[in-house]
Amino acid sequence: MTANELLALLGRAWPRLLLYPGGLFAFGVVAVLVWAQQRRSAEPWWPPRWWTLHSWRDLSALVVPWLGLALLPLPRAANLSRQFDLVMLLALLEWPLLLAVASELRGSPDERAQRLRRFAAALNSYPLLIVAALLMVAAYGSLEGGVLLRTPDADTPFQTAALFWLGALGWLLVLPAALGLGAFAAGAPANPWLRLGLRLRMVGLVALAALPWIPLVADPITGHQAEAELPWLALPLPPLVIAGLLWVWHRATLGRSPRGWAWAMLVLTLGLVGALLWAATTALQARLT
Amino acid sequence: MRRFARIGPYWPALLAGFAALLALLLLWMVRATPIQPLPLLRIDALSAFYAALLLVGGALLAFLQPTHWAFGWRDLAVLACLLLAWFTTPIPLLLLCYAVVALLSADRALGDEAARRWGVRLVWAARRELLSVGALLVGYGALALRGSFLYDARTAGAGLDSFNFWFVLLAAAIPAIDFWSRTSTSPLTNVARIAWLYPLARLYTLGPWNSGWSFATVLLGGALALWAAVAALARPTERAYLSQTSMLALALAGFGLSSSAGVAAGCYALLTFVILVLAQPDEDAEKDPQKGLLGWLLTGAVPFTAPFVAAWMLIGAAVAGGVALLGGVVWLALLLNCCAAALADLSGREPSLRIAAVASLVAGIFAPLVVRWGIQPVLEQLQGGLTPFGDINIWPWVGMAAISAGHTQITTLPTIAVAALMLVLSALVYVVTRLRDTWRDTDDSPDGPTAADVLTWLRAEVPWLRLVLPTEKQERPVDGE
Repeated sequence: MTANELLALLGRAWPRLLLYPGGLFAFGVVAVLVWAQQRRSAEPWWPPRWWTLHSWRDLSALVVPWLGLALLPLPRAANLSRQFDLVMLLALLEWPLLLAVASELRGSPDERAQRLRRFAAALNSYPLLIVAALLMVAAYGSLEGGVLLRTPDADTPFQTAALFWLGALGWLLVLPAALGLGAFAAGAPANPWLRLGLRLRMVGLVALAALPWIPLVADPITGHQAEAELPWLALPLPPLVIAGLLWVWHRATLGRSPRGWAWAMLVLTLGLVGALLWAATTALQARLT
Repeated sequence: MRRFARIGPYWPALLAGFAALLALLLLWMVRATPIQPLPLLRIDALSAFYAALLLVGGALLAFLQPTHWAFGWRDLAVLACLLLAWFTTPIPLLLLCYAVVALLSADRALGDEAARRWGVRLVWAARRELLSVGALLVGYGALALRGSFLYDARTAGAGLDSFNFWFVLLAAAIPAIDFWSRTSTSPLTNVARIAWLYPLARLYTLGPWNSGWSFATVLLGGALALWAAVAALARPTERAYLSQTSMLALALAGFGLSSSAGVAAGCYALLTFVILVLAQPDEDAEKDPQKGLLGWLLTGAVPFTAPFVAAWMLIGAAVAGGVALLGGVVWLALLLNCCAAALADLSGREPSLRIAAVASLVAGIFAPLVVRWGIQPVLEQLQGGLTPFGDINIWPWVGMAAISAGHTQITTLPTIAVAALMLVLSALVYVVTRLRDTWRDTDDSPDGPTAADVLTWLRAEVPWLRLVLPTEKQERPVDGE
């Protein structure tokens, strides 16, 4: 392994950083989100205010989730010589949330109670997010992002398929809390760079949650081999359906107390931990026999 | 002569730096085979790695006050005893050295005034260290009585059984259970807390562990790491100390995995622990958001910093070893440590915070090189006691990956590549929207909520936190109020 590979990797990464999934694509989706949120407000959504970058914190709030989004293993993205794992991708996407929580805890007292909701939503979502990821890991024995695209087919053993779909479902169900929607809504942070970072994070998490469903819609028979054959029109369908469901959930539960949902998520997490233990036990038995 | 006079006042830093260089040279010398210059003297990669951690940590502490000798006689005695214990093979000598270290640590914790009164107070102050030494005495003592007088003897492994192991494990775990920060301990004594894991790691030289021992160590390490992370969330003022403890527990869990990937994760977690100790958190330090930004580099929130890489290595090793649940526990502990950092004030003493942050960044980005030159020799020399369930694949110019026994890639972390991409993106954003000011935080207000308020509120909103954290006791009104 030489320096050439590093240079080749950096050279091959530019379409990902500037065009798709990061760059133009990501900021286009964010622009649509902003338009959807602000179309009823008096403030024009376009052109956006030209913000001034005040600090290294502002810079990192934009750059870190941008990089996370650019490295996602989305179909049709430029191929890199190395894969990236879920732990790192999630860490990159979570950075603006941590900055927002840290900043809001020291914010003005009037808005504090509402802003603490973001912190509570994050703490409620992490156990389920991790267990859902581990279920998909247990299915294929790898944490690499590409695993999310290995949708089971007819030949996949029942246990692998069950673990994978339980994980994918868990990841879908954790999205409202992880993204702070509906009952978990906490309002946008005051800092525009943090707002932008959080929207990039939202796009990234929805894209990750949509990955297991993409091969299903596009080509349910060939499974993980289908990535190269996906028709362009079917690609955006799963993320759009997920975004639509999230929007419905957001409108239906906005303003309600999140406590009931938090308890439901805890029960679901415990159930999924049970499934994980079952998988570990059967794997151990298989190893011993 | 004039030049000598100019560098003369810096002799403490120069001396400590020279010792650290010697330790690194030693690590380089023993990378292929252990050296044995005298019959009872043996330096292998594990002992050289430990010595390098301690001496490099000490040197960095000395650089903080380059013209002032920061270490007392107790610190030097602890250093000498530990080096003697690690570089020699007789087990009774190791026990004697550790007993002296325990007493000296307690003596230091008591402070100069109280230290004059030897007796009950000393025993009470040293209760954890003495318990630890007691357990070590039983575990390693029984091993020596069964004929394993020298740990490198050919038949030394024959005396190792569950009885020895449980006591050695207890000796390793007790210092990690120390959840209450003792600010009076010197930073070097704090760095020396890594020493308590050495006797456990040394058992791999004697032979492979059985799966029950591994399971118990992993369970204990994972539980302690999670417990410390939750405690850090509940006690933001002691966050720094608790995240150090969490890192020590992660190292314990890594050593318990009995695989190359696990031991590598354990060794890297020890390195991270030393970096975290270097930061010397200070509650009284003047609050400065710029320092807070540096503090984030010591929390594990940024992907190519040492605490993140340590947790990442352990997650990969756990999944490779078939203990995915431990991976989840470590992942949750990492995220909780980050959340605790968001609650706490991250400022610290200068320049120690700056040095620790830079060390964390360097050790994180160049983790493949650190693992290749510092940790790989340890894995190769302990190979006889390790299982094949998990290994580390290093690409020196890009990053590294954890692989399973079937050579499936479990986790991939191209640290150098990610750091380079981050640099490119940062430069791009900087050019487009010029950085106008070094720091102007418009959100900050001086009257932030107290940690207790936040925690009470969180306990009501987060069900699992309510189950894990005990309810605070209501203060009874005093009569007459």
